Amino acid sequence: MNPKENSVRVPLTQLAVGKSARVAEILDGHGLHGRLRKMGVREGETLKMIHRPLRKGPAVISISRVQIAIGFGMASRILVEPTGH
Amino acid sequence: MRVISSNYPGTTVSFTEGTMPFEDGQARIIDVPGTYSLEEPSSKAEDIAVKMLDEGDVIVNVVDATHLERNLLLTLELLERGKRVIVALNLWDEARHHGIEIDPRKLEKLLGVPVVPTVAVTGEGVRELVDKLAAAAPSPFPAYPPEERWTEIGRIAGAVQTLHPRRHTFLEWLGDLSVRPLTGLPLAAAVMSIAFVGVRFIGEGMTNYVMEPIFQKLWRPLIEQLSALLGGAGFIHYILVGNLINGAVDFRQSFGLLTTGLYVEFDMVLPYVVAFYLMLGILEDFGYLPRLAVLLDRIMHHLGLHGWAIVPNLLGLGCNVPAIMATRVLESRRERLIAATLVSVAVPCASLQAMIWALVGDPTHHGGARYVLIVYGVLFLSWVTIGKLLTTILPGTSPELLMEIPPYKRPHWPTIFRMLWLRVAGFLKEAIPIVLGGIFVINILYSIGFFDKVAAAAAPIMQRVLGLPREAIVAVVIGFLRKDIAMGILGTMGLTIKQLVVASTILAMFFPCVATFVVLAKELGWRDMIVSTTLMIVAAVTAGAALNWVM
Repeated sequence: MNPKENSVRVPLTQLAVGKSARVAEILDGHGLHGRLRKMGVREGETLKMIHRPLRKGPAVISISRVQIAIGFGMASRILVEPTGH
Repeated sequence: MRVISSNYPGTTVSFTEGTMPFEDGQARIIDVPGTYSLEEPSSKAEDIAVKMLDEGDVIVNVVDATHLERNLLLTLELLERGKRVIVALNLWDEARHHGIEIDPRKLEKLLGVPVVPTVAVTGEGVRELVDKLAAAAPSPFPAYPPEERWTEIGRIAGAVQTLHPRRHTFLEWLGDLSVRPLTGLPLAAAVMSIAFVGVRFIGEGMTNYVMEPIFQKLWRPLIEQLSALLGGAGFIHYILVGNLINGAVDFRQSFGLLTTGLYVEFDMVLPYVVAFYLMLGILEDFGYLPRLAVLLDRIMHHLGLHGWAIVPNLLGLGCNVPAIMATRVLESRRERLIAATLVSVAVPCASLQAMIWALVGDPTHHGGARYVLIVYGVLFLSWVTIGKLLTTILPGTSPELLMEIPPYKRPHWPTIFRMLWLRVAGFLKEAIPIVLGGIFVINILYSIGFFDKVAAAAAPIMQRVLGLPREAIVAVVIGFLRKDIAMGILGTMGLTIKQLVVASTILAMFFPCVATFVVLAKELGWRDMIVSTTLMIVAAVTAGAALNWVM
């Protein structure tokens, strides 16, 4: 496995549809951390991109077999590491 | 088991409770507002839930078997606090459909409390749950610091759960399509059109094939006999039967308690209410609404709302009262104000819509679908304009969308019809007394000349600005009571189609009906309320004047 590939982090809003990624970091603001954690979006969890935001629309991801819609602002604060599936 | 709905004292958070025989006495069962965690309560409802949990002897922890990990957080928190817990592993059938196999015995051993698989909708497992209630005891479960909880949850879930891989089903594929704008928006337009047509079709069908025959064949002879018995005149006749139009009973115009009162509610309005709630129920059960919210999120942001705010607006097309109550789910005061105002000013309820179609869309009186569309068009325009206006002048920003999208599922008809029944029964229980009472009061006021005075006072605005006869103010005043009766009154005035369009629009936008007014005041508080209603009045008169000028 290419070590460089492992540490590439992108905001969730840039993840391509159908790709899987691991949540690396959540840039905080307005208690974002807590709200996302309760919905199941936590560091270390793997998610899959269902719908990538068009312009400023929401992102839809699948995480722990649940689909969640996340507003653009919030989604751009979630940094993920693509796992290349 | 009898179930009633109540409010947690001092709040607007409601819960249901009931009693059932248990051991040698009665047990009180309380449905606590849903929450994912006891810490960091993110809404007032969760706050209350935490308080309520302290008051219970035994806590039935309903866990969604299709999402075990997420639900176990609450379970662990309950156990760590030393509560007496019994776990109901619900949606057991759904889990199996998704290829999720859970070992309840193993889970029981790991958690230290009874675990019972249940399917709440069919009642499977509930008996066993009740039987095991007595066995619920605090578990010797160790407390974990927050970060380690998730590893523990992962460990437990991994030990009891086996996932069988399944193929991507048709419904899942459809779900994905619904959310992407390219396919989702056309789909949404199609769904909305079908829903709209469905409501019209079912509504009109019920009116024409069920209610009309009942009223004309069964009720009319009885009323005519009553009329003859009362001599066709006199106070009692006036109240019960109303005025004879051209010597005969006219269900629309006579305005008696037993004539127009019953006719408007049962023949014209009820079919629409039933049709609307049926369609809504199907969409709800199927799971379409969250996807609609996602699709419309960006557009809603232009109005200072987020996607989910579409739900109160859709509900408002049935009745504004539950719609405004639904704005509670919006997180900020700003959003609630915008959403509630938009609903009251620009979303016509089913009763009003039914009357608009009946009067403005009536070809025998020069009306037609074309004119009805004008009314809807102006209302929609107002909705967008006022939304934009409010979001520009109100300080602050609105929070973003963060919500779970449940999978599409085959509609469960028993649930849909049960919801339909509840909603229709609610409508009948609330509307009928107000309508009958209102007509009674209105008739009295008419006979003492109250309305003549009001009409004279409002005459200049009515005639010059709005192009309506001065009597039309009566309808507007009555609109405060109920908009459908107000429309009924407009119907007796022999207005031209243009006047009907102007009047209907104003009626829809002006001051809310008393039921809506009460709920609005409770939800917004007095200060926001004043902003809201001033806006409504100004908007209504502006729209009416503009229409009068343009048409």
